[in-house]
Amino acid sequence: MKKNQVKILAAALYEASQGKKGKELDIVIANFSNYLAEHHLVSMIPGILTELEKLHFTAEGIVAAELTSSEELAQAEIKKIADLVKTNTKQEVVVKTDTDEDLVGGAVVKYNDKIIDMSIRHQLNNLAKQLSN
Amino acid sequence: MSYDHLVKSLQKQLEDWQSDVKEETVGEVIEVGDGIAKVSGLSDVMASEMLEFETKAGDKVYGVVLNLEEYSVGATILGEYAALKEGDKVKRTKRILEVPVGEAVVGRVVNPLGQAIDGKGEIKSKDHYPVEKIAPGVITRQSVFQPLETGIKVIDAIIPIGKGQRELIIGDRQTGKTALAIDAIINQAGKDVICIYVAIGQKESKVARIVAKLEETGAMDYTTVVSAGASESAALSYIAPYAGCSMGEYFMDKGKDVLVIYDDLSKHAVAYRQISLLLKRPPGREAYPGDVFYVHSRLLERAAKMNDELGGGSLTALPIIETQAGDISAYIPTNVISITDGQIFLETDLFYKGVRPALSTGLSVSRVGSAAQKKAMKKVAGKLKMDLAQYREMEAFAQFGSDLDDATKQLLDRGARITEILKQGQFSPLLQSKQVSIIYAAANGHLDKVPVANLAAFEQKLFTKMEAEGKDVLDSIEKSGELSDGDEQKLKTIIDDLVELEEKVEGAEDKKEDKK
Repeated sequence: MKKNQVKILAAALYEASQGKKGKELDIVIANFSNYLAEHHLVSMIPGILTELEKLHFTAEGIVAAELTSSEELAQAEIKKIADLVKTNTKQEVVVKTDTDEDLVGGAVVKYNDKIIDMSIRHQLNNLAKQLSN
Repeated sequence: MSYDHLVKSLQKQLEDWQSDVKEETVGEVIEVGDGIAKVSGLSDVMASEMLEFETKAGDKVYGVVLNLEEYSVGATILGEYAALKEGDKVKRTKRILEVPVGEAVVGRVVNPLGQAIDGKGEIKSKDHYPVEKIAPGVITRQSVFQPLETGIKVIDAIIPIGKGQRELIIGDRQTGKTALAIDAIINQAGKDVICIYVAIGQKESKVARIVAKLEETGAMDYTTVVSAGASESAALSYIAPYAGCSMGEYFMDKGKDVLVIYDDLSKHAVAYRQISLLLKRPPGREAYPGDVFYVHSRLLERAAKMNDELGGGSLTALPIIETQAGDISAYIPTNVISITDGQIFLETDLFYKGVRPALSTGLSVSRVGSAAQKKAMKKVAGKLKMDLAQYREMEAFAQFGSDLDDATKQLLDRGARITEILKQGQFSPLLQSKQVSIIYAAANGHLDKVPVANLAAFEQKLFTKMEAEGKDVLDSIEKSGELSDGDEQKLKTIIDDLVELEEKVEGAEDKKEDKK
């Protein structure tokens, strides 16, 4: 039930903060924080934040793409990949980047439940598979 | 092979190779245990699609989608699930679960995924059939009319099985259910029937013993054994009968005759119950899920006799059900009895009385009936059924012994002899012609003068004599399936001669004992 609770809390906060600005928003956040503190739920904040982000993205029709590459990519390259995802999904894209040396080279992009694996590691694995057949 | 050649072929391989980057659908394991995994993502996955699980170590395990829920997908894992962890990647394969079919699987022992487990090398087959197939429809079938000879006297005479029929073998443990099925397989030698034995949740030792026996009798040449052992996951037990059926369907579509044995469906139901409960489907009667009837009916509906335009192939199904203490009114037995076209009921009491096969002639039926019998057998067995039915009715009186009228006494004598004649050893299936001759003798009262204790020996003597003197009669029955008047006369003479001889020997022995 813990996971569900995170979702419910995030949804509640999102709904309460809808269309509120400045002072009003501060009050909502303060109330929410007090509620969390009273019910010993402060440890759930990171989970609630990621849920909140997801809610925001779905509401605005934005796709969150995770881009993992072997080394830091230039802005132009990231832009290219974002465009690729944009053409695939026909939605606005927000890219988060990360690095992983195990990929050897290239990059992996994840969005929704799709994955495009353009890494050297994946291609080497494929080659190994073909040669052993 | 030279070094140069090696380098060149490698080069060629590398030139041909093209890296393909494509969009794949992946999910993540949320929860795993007891052969079941809950997977997030995979929003466009199909029901009963194969999934590819990838463990952290890079090993691949396959699974099948069973539940499509709002936020997750429930799947069974086919194989080792111990290495799977939360967060492992799951890929769609966009394929329904399928097994290799064709000549390559004949004579092999395979698991329900069609992988060899007999150590005779990989199974290379071009053709694959989906495990779950819709049963042939009404217009593609024709009614059952050919006999599937089991070589067991009591079955071929009283409850004949037709090609394309579904006949249930039901009984307690240790009543000879499997033995009956194995005898039926052994008897298909030279009859151009492909046999498939599906062992569901059986002990590996039992399967090994059966395979050894089939090999010894040469039956393995036309048999495939599909084995989901007791130690393997319930998911494999669950798909085993469907996989075996698909392997049989291939040959049916090719116009051949197939015999499939499901040993046994009670364990299959138990495996399905386990999967269903783990997937949190609501339990019903005896904790089986609501669709356990459909699980068996859609499997057994796939048994069919195809019409001649479609090749006229057939798939005969012999499902086995194990009852607890003879209780055929439990959930699974009643279900399967109502699905099948008749049942062979084996009883513990009969088994220990020495009546083997321990077939209860009162409770066993074949709804296809004599449509699936050779004319010769029909001719001699008709009387047999009547006599046996009357014998069962009168049997209770026999307990009181003495003051019975002659007619009743004769009836009881006849019944006792028929029962004795219908006994048969394991692994000794008989040709139809021999069955016809001994049943002819019993049903027409020719054996009334032979003591019951001598009948087994008499049967052997009759077969030897028939082979020596009446070979043409046996051959003509085998060939035409009919017992002509001339042949009947000849058969009668041979039997009478033997009975006469038997009487003389009896008489001489009696005299000897008198002198002493």
